[in-house]
Amino acid sequence: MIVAEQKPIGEILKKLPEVEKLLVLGCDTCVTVCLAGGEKEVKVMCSAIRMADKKIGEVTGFSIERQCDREFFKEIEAVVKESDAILSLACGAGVQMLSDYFEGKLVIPGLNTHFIGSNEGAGYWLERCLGCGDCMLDITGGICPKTRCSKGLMNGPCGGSENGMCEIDPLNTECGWYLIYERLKKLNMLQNMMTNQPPRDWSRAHDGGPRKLLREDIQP
Amino acid sequence: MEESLLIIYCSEGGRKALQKMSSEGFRLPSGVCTFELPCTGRINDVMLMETLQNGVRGIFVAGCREENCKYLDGNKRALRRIKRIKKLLSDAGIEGKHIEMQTFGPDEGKRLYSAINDFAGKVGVS
Repeated sequence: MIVAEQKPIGEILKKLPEVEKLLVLGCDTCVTVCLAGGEKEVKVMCSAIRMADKKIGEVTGFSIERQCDREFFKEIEAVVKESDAILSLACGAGVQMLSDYFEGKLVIPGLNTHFIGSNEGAGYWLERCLGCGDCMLDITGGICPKTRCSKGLMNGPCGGSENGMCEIDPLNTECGWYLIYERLKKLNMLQNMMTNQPPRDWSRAHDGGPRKLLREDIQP
Repeated sequence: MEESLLIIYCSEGGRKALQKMSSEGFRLPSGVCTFELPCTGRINDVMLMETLQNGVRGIFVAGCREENCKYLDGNKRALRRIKRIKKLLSDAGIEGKHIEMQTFGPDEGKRLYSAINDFAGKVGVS
């Protein structure tokens, strides 16, 4: 899922324009799971704005299934029409989609989007995927070296790996390549460590503008 | 509502301390409402923020002593949530709204009385 966190409330309040009607819009998917922009966070944000910012006449809260999918915007067309500005508690993709769909309506981002990651425990999320466009998880036992190795090495580990930890933060950051080694050992696939991996194919990564995925079998 | 103070207490330590306080002849200040929860761990951000937004000036939470929670760590969770909301109120520059949580043993009626009165004075509810 996409992991994000709320901007500091002081920063959000400074960004809010003096409008008569503000809509706080949550997203019920990824940012709900990472406790940043779901229905509950919308309610808390609405209360905070109502108590803090007297310049805004009316604050309405609403939440939709996904802000990165235009089909869910239909249900909020009326409430958006009534609003002068929207504070979006979605990831960057959701904020942009919302701005595109409701062109001419000011959209303010309420979150900072961080990474594609996993929920590791209560209040703990870990980056797992860079979205590199060239997955090699079959070779590395399901652990991504581009993400989990601090240097993003394709052939590791480096000399900074000690007792399974990475030199950048030996107490808290595991060495991605140590994890890969241990996993491959369990899978009886250690021979993969001996295969030299070619340099990354950057043409599939963030290169040449925003990446697009088109599937002709699904397109009308 | 505008002049009121809400006391949220758990049905274990908080309730017993309130009962002890009452049996010792101490009375709550006027303008105080009480609300019982099975455990202070039931408190959440929405509940606190919407209560404050609806006009309550202060929320005082009385839970069990740290090691005495019937539900193991409900009081610790409540303390963390209240700390978070206090920071939110402070960062948002929201003045005149207060939240505080303290933990009590069943025999601490007098200390609960003092704590509530101090808090009532702080939020301007007499």
